[in-house]
Amino acid sequence: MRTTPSGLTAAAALPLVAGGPRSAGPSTPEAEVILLFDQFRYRLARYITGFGLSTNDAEEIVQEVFLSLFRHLQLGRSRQNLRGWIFRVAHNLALKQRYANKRSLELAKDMEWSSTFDFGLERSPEEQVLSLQRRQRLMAVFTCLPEQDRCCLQLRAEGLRYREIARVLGVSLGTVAASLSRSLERLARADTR
Amino acid sequence: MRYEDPHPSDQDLILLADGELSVGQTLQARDHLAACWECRAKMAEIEDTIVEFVRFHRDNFGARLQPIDGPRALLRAQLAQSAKDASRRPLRRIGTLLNRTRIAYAFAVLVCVVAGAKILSWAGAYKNVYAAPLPNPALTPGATQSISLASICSSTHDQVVRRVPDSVRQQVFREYGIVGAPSKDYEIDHLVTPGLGGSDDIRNLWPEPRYRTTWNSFVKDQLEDHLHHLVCDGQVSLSTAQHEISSDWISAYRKYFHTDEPLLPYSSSMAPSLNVADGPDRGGRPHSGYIWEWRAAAWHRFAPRPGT
Repeated sequence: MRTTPSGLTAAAALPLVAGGPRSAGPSTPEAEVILLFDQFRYRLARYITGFGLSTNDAEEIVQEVFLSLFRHLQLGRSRQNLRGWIFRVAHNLALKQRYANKRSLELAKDMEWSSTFDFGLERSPEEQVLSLQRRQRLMAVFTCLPEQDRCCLQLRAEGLRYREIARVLGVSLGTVAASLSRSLERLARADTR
Repeated sequence: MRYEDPHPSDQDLILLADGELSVGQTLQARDHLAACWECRAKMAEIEDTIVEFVRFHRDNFGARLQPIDGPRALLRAQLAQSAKDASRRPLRRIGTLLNRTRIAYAFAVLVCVVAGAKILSWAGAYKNVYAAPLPNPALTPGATQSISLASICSSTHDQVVRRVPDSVRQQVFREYGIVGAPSKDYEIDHLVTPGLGGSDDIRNLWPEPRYRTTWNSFVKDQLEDHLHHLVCDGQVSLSTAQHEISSDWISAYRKYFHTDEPLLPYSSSMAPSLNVADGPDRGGRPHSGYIWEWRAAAWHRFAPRPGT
């Protein structure tokens, strides 16, 4: 049986970013946008780079997303599910940028493989090697997934609920559920080899 | 141990793990898991995969992002600029709207002016012709040629009337300001008919309405024919006939026919073999001596005898 890494429990739900204790809240749209930027910038950039875009492109798109959010709030538009709104805008801008870049989605070739994994101090060198191999297998499976399945996985990993994912991608709830199920099954098969 | 509940599918387990099942379904699934080691093990595998993927996703994507301070400062600056632009935006919108309104208004005025000018020119042109069965004396004072009475009276219609060249026709239309009107509505008529010694000079030509006025080209033809007959009979001098037809042919008609209105409302259906389609300027009628005789006979039926 696998040991559960510290900091994560087997039954813990994926981190949900929305919600949290109510506070006084930012008084101006600008302050509100900065707060949301601090909260979502990393997640958004991570999601955007999953499209095969560079980190520079990802940063620019993130800036554009929050500028759009600022205009959205200034115009007094709906504040319902801002998290989903942010990811939807980021998703569309990433697709647009990718089309503009005319890059093919060969993530395994284009992405710079990061070797700075946080293996944790508890891991032995052997465990680190095994962990690295596992990541490579996951990467191989991930890159072969259809784009919709990849997007579903990444959005779920960023904490969006199924309904939010469906809205971002413009698909049904059932499609999201089926996609995640399919993807996790493939990842699980790769993980157990 | 018996498992009476159906085993949830992998998808159901994922939905359970993600909190996407309804309350009732969640309770049912959890009850089943409590009793089913197989499904519980599968659930653990699913959650392990999720955890592993989250790590993979976290480590592999976005690991190269720069610290947040720089992008945050950049965003602050852009937000400040956007806020400044937004304060000017209502004015810009109003300005844009005003500009668009001005442009639309100016365009509408231009269209009205052009259309009005067009209508006026048409109206003017038509008014010029239809309200004036008499020619413009400045443009068409009348002109005669040097020809003897004997030649006039011995010549056929074809011999004295020649087709007006198109260039001259167009010039006459231009001088009278007739633009765009159907040419078949007008006859480029000789004010002094060649049958009374009139010339082909442009000063003797004018666009005479064929149909749309009471005093039209067909009515004038009646007068021309009658005067030709009277002159050749010696009842009226050639110079008198030329003067009267050129100065005011309508008055001459009334005088020589003793009527205030045309005796015969001439129409194309009355004349034999008449073709009023575009053709020679004499209304498309065939050029033959028959015309003189037929017309003379027809008018003589109605025209009073001289002296009566």
